[in-house]
Amino acid sequence: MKLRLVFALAMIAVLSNPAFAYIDPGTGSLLLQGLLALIVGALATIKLYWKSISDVVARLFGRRQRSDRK
Amino acid sequence: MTLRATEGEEGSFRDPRGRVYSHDGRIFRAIAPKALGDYRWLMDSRLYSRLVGKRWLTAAVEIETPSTQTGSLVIEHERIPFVSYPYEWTFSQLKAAAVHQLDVHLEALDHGVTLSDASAYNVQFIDANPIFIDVLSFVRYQEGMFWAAHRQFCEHYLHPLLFTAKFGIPFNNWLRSNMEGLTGQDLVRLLPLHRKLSFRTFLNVTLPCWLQQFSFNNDAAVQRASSRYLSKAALVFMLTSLRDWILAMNPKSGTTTWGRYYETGHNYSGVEAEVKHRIVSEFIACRAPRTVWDMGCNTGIFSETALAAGARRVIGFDFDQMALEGAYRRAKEKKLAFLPLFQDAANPSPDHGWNGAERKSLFSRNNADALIALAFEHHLAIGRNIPLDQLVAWLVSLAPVGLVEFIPRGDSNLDRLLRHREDIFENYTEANFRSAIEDVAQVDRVDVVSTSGRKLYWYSRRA
Repeated sequence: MKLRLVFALAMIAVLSNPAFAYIDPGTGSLLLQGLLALIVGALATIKLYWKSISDVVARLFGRRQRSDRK
Repeated sequence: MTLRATEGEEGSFRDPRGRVYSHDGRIFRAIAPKALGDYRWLMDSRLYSRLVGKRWLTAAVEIETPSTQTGSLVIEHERIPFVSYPYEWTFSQLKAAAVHQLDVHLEALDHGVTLSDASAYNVQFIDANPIFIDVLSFVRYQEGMFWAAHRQFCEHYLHPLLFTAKFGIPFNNWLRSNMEGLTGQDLVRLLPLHRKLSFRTFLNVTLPCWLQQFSFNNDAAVQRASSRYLSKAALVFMLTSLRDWILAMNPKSGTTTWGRYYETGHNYSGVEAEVKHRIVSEFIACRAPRTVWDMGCNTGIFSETALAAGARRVIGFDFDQMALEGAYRRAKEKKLAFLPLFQDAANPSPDHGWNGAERKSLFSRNNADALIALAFEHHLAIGRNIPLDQLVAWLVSLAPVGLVEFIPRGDSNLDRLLRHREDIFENYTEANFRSAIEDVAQVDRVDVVSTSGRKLYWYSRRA
């Protein structure tokens, strides 16, 4: 229990941003930015794997084209 | 140098990393040891010199190396000619300050620095130009950090601007009552449904407000959200999209009586206006003031004359928003040393905020060497029932010398003020006006400026 508390405090120390120091960012604003971070993160992941995704799509599309020709 | 606690500026307590002091008319800032790292980072990056070079940030010089006792560093700031507050600005001024805040932030991000707050009180105006004044707002940026001051930016800038843009009601009364600005909750309650749901308003105002209500007692969700990584690109996107949005905002249109006072019909023939301009010029040339206060400045036409006659700087006050917009445009387009501000002379800015001292009254910020008050006194003496002797004493208390216009009965502008009401102003006579001046000052000269009998009184205050 004590260990968990120490760990939690240590995490707060590590995670808390220095810019948060003296004004309250407000939970609404934090959640909004969290949401934005999530969306941007998702877009970035899609972009990262875009080549493989587009390859897969192209392959599917290509196959269908071939099957269309048949 | 010892900075005494009594010289501490009451408005600088919020950020414990530093404190502002005024001493002998100079402005100092003590920077606490815990803020020195960020301060050095700012100074050593090219950001500081870049911002100061562009006149986006006030300059500072180091006065003392960190003292061994407190570990604080003392710097001296350049002095702002006249400190004004957001509740004294027009829509265009708050808009310019908002854009400036965002521009400074974007420039800072290019140099690995971010802003820890977004208080509109950190922006001041030197004439028509906004300038950032708080070096301690700059902190090192680590990619992934959230914009901690997003809410403050919205409350101090975005919400008041939206409020005026959507409802056509000036934000000044609201901002004067609430130093924290206009909250999202209040604004969302006011907005009709279609406005709440319009795309940008929804994203920036309604959604955070709803999220805040949803997250009440849901600390886990907030914890989860705030541990996410906000890329720099996403942060820049937030800042630039707010900037674009604000730049496109305008106050909901409305016409007021005085907006075109000098462009359309007024009480002077062309010749009479010329006489008035000539006398203002003579007055300024004769008194050679550095700073002039123009009470009831309207669109700044006589402020401009005062500047042309040699005044170094004019601070103008009026309570007509549209006239002030015209004055601000005049100052900006003609690059005049002129700052027009909103002020209701019958209810001027008080000392208020924390401990009644955080923001200073108009009177305690007085820096006028001379005053002009043209077509002004009747609006207060007749329009607002201010006793003539009190009004004159107040005007004379603002500046050691001045030029005050007296509007006599029979003048069509004065008669218009009495049109729908009983004339209870038997004391409103030129003789009483003159004797009220003579109670506190000396009458140096009187010029008649219209056929209706308007007169310009030159006074100099008794020492």
